[in-house]
Amino acid sequence: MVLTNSQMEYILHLFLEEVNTHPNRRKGAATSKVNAFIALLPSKQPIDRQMSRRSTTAKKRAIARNNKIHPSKKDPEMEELEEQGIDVSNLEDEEDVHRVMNAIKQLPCPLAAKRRFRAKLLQKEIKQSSGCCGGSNTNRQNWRKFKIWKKEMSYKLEPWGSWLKNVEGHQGTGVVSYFVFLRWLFFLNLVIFILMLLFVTIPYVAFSNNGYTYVVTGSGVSGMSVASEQTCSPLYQVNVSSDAKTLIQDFLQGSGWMEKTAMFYGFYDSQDLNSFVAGHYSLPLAYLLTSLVILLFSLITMARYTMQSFRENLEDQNEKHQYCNRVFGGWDFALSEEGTAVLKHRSLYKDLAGELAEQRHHEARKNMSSNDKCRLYTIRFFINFMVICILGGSGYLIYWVTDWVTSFLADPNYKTNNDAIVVLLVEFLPSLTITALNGIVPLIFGIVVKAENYTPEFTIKITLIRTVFLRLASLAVLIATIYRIVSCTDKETTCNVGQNACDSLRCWETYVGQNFFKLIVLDFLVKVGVTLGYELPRKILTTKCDAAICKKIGLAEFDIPKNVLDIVYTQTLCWLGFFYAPLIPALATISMFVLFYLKYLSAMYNTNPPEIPYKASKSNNFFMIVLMIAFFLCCLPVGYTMVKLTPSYGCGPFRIYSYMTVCVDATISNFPSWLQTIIGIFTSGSFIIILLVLLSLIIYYTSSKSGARAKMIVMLKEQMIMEGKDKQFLLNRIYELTGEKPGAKKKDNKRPPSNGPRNGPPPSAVKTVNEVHQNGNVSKDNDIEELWA
Amino acid sequence: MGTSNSVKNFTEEELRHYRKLTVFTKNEILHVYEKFQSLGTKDEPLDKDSKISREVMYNLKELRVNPFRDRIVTVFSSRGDGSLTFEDFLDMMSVFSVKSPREVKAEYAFRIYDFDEDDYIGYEDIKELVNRQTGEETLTAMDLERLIDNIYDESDIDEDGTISYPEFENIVENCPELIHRFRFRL
Repeated sequence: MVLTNSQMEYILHLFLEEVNTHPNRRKGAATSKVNAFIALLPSKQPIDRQMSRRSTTAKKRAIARNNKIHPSKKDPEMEELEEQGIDVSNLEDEEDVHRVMNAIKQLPCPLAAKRRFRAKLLQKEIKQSSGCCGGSNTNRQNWRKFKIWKKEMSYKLEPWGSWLKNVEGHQGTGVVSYFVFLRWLFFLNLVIFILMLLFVTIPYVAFSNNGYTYVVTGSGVSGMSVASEQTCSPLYQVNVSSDAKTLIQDFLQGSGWMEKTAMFYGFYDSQDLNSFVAGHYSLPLAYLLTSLVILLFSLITMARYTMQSFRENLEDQNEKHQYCNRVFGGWDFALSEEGTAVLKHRSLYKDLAGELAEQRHHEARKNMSSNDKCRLYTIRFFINFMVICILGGSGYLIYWVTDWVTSFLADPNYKTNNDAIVVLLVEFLPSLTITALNGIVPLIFGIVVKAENYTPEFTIKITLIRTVFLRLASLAVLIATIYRIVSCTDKETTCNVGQNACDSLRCWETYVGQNFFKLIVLDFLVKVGVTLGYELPRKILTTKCDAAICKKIGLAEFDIPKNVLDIVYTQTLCWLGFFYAPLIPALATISMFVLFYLKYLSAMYNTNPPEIPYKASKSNNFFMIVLMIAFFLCCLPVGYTMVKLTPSYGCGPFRIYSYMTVCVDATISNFPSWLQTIIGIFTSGSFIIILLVLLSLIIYYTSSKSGARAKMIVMLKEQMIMEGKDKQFLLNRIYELTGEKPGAKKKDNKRPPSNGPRNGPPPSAVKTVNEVHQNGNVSKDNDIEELWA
Repeated sequence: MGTSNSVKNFTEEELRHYRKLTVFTKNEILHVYEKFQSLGTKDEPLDKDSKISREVMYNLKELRVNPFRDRIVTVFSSRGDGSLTFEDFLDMMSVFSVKSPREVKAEYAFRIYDFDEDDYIGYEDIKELVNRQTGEETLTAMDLERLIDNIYDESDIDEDGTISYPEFENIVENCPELIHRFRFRL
């Protein structure tokens, strides 16, 4: 809309009148009348009156409407509270007061102001609330007291709190996020261990057993054979030697005397236990249900952890704000040491300079000739092909080694024919192969990715993805190899043990458990070894030796992604192994406990913070996703074992069943018939299908809602741009009318007077118009052209 | 040791008041008070009514190497002269604590980064911000200008050449690192 000159003059006349009747209260205001007018704009009011900028206009309108209906004399404090969007108009009972108190707590103003509000609020007379839900007033107060007590306790008991603070001061928040993750996983493993201990190990060890009663065999359930158990159990023998060297070896390998302990599956029996609760306790059922509960619990805690951070961090929007992230979120406020602060400054400088250089590169790269592009793409294709070959080669190596080792160990004379050391080495060969591959291949990935000429961010991402793939693939190959060994078809009929070409495993679940046991032990030893054998020497070198080359080598860097992947790997092993070796979570817990202190020493004394600033929230999300993928991959073998594989006849808590899930059938068959029918309905196919359809409907609904919201965001952003342009246009017209040139005003740089909140003049509107013109914003110039036309 | 002394200084009532006005529990408030007292000397012990001058405040562990410490002290000083009473100090630790809500941190971050106190983060503000963070080495003028242009491209929605508070809130929404790093662990 274009106003005529006379209209604009009239408007300006009104404005100037307004300005004259409300003389500007602020000291030191610029003399220009236009500036004085601009200072009256709502968006320019000083901060203490503008704390309401957080409250929405809708809220303010609602409050104003309320005021019109119930006009009442208000104290200035109440008015101020209302401007900030807190509804104080109808304070009737304690609940409302409590709500307003909580809102006051969240205000961004000094304590003295909050105290003023609170005092005013407490002066009001409030009638006692009549209890509706939740009983009387005292109940609610007690509940609140309890919540407060809980908060106090959890602050006192926060484990390792002071240690984390030290690391944060020395290395920054990126490294601390690793420790927080480690602590979280430690507690998860502790809970898993306690669950297994409580419901499986302790009952089996403490209670006497009743034999194979109806509780475990059910009534009229097929797929059971107590007789074969009688024949095969005695045949499962483990040679226990008392030689000291062998004892230690067995401890590390999980064979010999270790095999007969509660650590492994083979220790447990499929019997009914004489518990004090009801005289009966079906151990097979307890084993199965505890495993399922553990998996479910892990899933729920992971989902909660992920949802909390998802709310703060939406993936694709991050890409559009990388400079803002670097500049505004660059400095780590937790740093408190001089040395690391200097390193942080340097790292920030390198990061910004690097990113800007990369931008220049990017422009250059866009203008690459087609020849160069063709070359680049061929190189990338070739390198990706090479990566796949490396992964394939590693997989085959693992398969071949595992196969060879199993046939070597199945030979009954292997112990007598070979030295003890050789036997130890052979036992650990599969684990050694996997660990060695996990260490060496990522280094190769790091070297070849340089030739692919990606942006630094993408380089890190793709190396990480390849490493994750390597680790998961090596585990998958191991599982596949073991499966092949276990499901070999040439088995003798009495006890289902392999013969001739197949390796004879009397208790195959324990064998699987032993493999994972060895993996975890080796993984732990390697981690300790690397910390002591790689980082410590470098530190000693840097401090003791004065030569230039020693200084150049310097301290090692605390490589956060690698460390996080390490503990994700440990957790995956724990999830895979706990079904076959119920006390493996204990191993994982101990390993993480020791690792915490080891890494603490490493972080505080032996390493420097990473050079590239680590984006904690984004990366935490990525690692959580990796953990979830690993979890689902772990559910597959465990679930398949439960449902499809035949348990060993001679050992374990499922030895009388033909499938592990038969124990659930047996228990259900003992229920009253009406319960059986209900369970039948809930597990029938049609019910599951209805559930699936319902879930898909919910997913469709929520996704369409989020699509609509995204469109709304785009629209609102466009509106905001238009509003800004409107403001600029109007200001330009005003300047044009008053004849004042925008460039003529200088910013008033006076410091605000010290007796009170900021009330200096905000003449930045002038400045912004200056800058807009200086930055050569073409559209604005065009506007002005139009004005003069 | 310190705890019994500090408890003598506060009544239950006062502790309860502070608990209701900040995000802290009672124990945390006492801990903050210990921190406050640790800034005093043997000759001039501090109690809850004393105020600390700017220079002494800079000795606090968390502020020692912080490039924005002058801004932090200015923003939280209720008298405006750069001295902090215990309540200002409690305010500061509360805003920077892990439990304080995002909106409060965003508000204070905005005030801290607004070096010329004109309620906008403008060109000069961002320049000062970047220079303080890179420490001894500074970016070239050309690089700096391109950087600030990039930042405006990303965040200045109404294209007025400055970042107003709503635009800053938008940045905070999209850059979780800002809030993540804007804290002192107690």
